Amino acid sequence: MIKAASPLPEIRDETKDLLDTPWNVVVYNDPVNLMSYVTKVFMKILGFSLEKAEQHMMEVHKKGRSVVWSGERERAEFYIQQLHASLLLAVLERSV
Amino acid sequence: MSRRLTLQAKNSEILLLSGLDDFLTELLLKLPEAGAPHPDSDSRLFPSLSGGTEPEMDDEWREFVRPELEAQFEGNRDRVEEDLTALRASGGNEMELEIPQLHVGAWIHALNQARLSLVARHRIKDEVLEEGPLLPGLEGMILFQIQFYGVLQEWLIEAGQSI
Repeated sequence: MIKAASPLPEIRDETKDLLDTPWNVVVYNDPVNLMSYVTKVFMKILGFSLEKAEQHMMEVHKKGRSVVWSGERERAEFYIQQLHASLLLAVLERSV
Repeated sequence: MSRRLTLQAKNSEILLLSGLDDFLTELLLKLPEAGAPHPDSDSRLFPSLSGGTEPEMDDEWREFVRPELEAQFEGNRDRVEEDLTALRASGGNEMELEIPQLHVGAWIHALNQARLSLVARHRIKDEVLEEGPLLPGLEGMILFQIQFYGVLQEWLIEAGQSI
């Protein structure tokens, strides 16, 4: 019988760390996407009000990127898949 | 661009795009093809999850998410292609097209897909994009096509009930 020397707990801890790490959904600027389109996509996918969506859109436009959501990885990936389906340049980043 | 080109609501379910001359009709018919898969637009249409900072996660993304995105993009193009079969003459040399409100989302995404793909495939630089379609030659033609699709996209965003 195997007693204790299994590496499993270490793997489990690593997985837990990955899942617990806060993740950012970052949208990068793209010269092709229309500003009105980006605003609508933020409203539809992230549930932003028009005002908040326009703020983030302008941040993307002027600063080159905007963190549009932070939290658990699974939900962040869900948002990024939706943003990629709308052809926005969205990236998952660890929140430091 | 035709001065009479308009998009207006025919009723609560149908938008009518009218005033299409031969040239604009030709560009419209090229829409599905313009957004079709191409090696040069691949990285723009299918970006990685982390931008390369998390290679394992990017690999999983490519394996599991990309096929779903490919299917969605193809679905949008197919919807547009099907709608385009309803193009019809509207008097004189002009054509018109009815776009169901239910299809507006697919149209907006297909137009966006085509614009992004054209820019990537023809390696059009940002500063050239801003100069508009006044450039001569093929590049000017492509810029006009991108701008035409952009105008339609903007109109559909305004007139559509959802994206």
